Amino acid sequence: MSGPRLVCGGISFHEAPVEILEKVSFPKESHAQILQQLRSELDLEEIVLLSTCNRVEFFAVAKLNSIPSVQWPEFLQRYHQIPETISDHTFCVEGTACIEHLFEVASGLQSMVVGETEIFGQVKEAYETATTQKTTGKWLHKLFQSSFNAAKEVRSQTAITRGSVSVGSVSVELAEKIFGSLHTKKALVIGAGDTSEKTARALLSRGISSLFVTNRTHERAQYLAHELQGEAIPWEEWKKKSVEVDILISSTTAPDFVLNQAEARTLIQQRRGSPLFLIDLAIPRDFDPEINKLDDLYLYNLDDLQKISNQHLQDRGGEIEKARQILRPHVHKLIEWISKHKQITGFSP
Amino acid sequence: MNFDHPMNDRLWFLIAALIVAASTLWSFLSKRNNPLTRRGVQFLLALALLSLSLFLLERGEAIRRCPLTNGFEATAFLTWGVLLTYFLIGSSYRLSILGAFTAPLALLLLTFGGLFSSDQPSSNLNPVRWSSEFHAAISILSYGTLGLSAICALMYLIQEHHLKKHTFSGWFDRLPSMGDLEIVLHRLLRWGFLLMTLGMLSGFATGLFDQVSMIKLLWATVVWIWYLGLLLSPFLLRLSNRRFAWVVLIGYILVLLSFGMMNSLIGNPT
Repeated sequence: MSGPRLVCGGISFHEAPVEILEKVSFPKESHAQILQQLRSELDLEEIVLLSTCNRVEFFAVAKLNSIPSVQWPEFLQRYHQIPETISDHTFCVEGTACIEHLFEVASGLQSMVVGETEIFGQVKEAYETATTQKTTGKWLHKLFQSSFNAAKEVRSQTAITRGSVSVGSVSVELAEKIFGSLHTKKALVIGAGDTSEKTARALLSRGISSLFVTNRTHERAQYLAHELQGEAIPWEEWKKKSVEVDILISSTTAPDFVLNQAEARTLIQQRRGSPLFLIDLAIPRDFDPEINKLDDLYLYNLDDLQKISNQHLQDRGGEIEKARQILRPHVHKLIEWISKHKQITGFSP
Repeated sequence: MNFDHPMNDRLWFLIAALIVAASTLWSFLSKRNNPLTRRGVQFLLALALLSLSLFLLERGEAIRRCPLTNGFEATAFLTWGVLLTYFLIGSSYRLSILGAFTAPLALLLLTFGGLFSSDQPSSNLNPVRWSSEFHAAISILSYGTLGLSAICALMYLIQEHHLKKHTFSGWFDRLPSMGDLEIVLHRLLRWGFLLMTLGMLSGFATGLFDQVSMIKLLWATVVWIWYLGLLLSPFLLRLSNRRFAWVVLIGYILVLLSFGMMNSLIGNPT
């Protein structure tokens, strides 16, 4: 190597178990200080640090005598006071591979949930923090700006971000297919399970107008209602309340159905043609599957929601190769730009 | 296509039919709901509307009256009404996807009109009163609007089927929500019914009460009562939304079929 090199390295869910990832992540407020420390200890000219739940990575321009592949795991161990060796779980690449890696990370191709868009914001934030700390220069500016353009093209030209992939977001997507806007809709949570709470939160984030919670133990209903800024109703009254709500989310531990077909038929008659979306998150199921045969009632159980989520994940996976083809010209364009300047090495356009 | 009419304004009709065919193909061959396809289909339908407007304008100037003197012209006018309503409704309710369903209906109407309707000049081209022309035009527009309501009902039924069967991948994934379709469906029915009522009232104003007019009046009254019943059904009957959509769809098909049959029996399409 005859000059500074573009390098990147890190540790992510691909290489390391969650117990190690937990230990090596950096809290947001420490990033400014870590950037300066890394630059000096790893002999780097420029550096951006990306630390999320699933990855801790750096992108840098390394000086001639720098050996980040060795220094990076040592730094992590030292900083986090980890007794065991973690170098087996880390990676470090240079030149073209580094560009390809960042472009794929920013596009969501390297994410645990392929195509998730949160990572784009995290990469942007990492770059902005580094810019504020003045640890970026000409090379990383160009690298990150190019990665943002490439990621935007991937998002707009492929279906990689399409379709929800969690039970909560799939439920919201279905509710919007049934009702359109959720702003005037009301939901009732039956039983205070963890998944139903997440689903209720997802619905609240989409602006449902009211949320009611019921549970056999009223105190538990009151607690969850308080958490979700909803209203607790006594267990004996939930069937009466169902007439006026649009979405029922159930996750009780009841051994039998809490709503059977005959009750559902009466309920839908009382609703005078207003559709009802039933989300059954309980095992064993809370709603009689026969209910789905009734008009204006849409029943989804946990298994249905997971199938949809898996289908979306599969569809996203099918878009990875298409996304890589979109990224290729962006990578070549950047390599050409770097080659023109001939100040950093390690590229094979 | 029947080209026995002495005028060449039918070229605009042919162009409109070809554009509508292209937009139908584009929307159904497109695998994804991308903005380019949506805008492209909308652009083609706008061109088709323009082309049909030119046909109706040239034909109207040539015969010096509202171009509703034979089946060919009536079909062109009906398609024009469907496309116009689509642009008014589709843009108002952000239902650009409606275009993907409007295109095949327009294609069907234009193909039917072009292949099976006679474009013979009417034997009776005596001057007509404005009330007769207004009556014919407004009635055709009302059937265009009700045609779009039938398309909405079809979209509702497809979406409902997918939500019931838990199947989501594919072309139909881009359909609007059932809630939005329901709102548009009811509004289209109300507008269609209002236009139909205006058409009937203007029909009375023409003062024509011969045998042919009476048959048409009887048919129109039955259709009017049918749609009145549909509008009142949420208050009178407990039809589920799915059944209501079926009734709207099948009802419109029956109206179109009976309209065609009646005209072929009495030998006067308008």
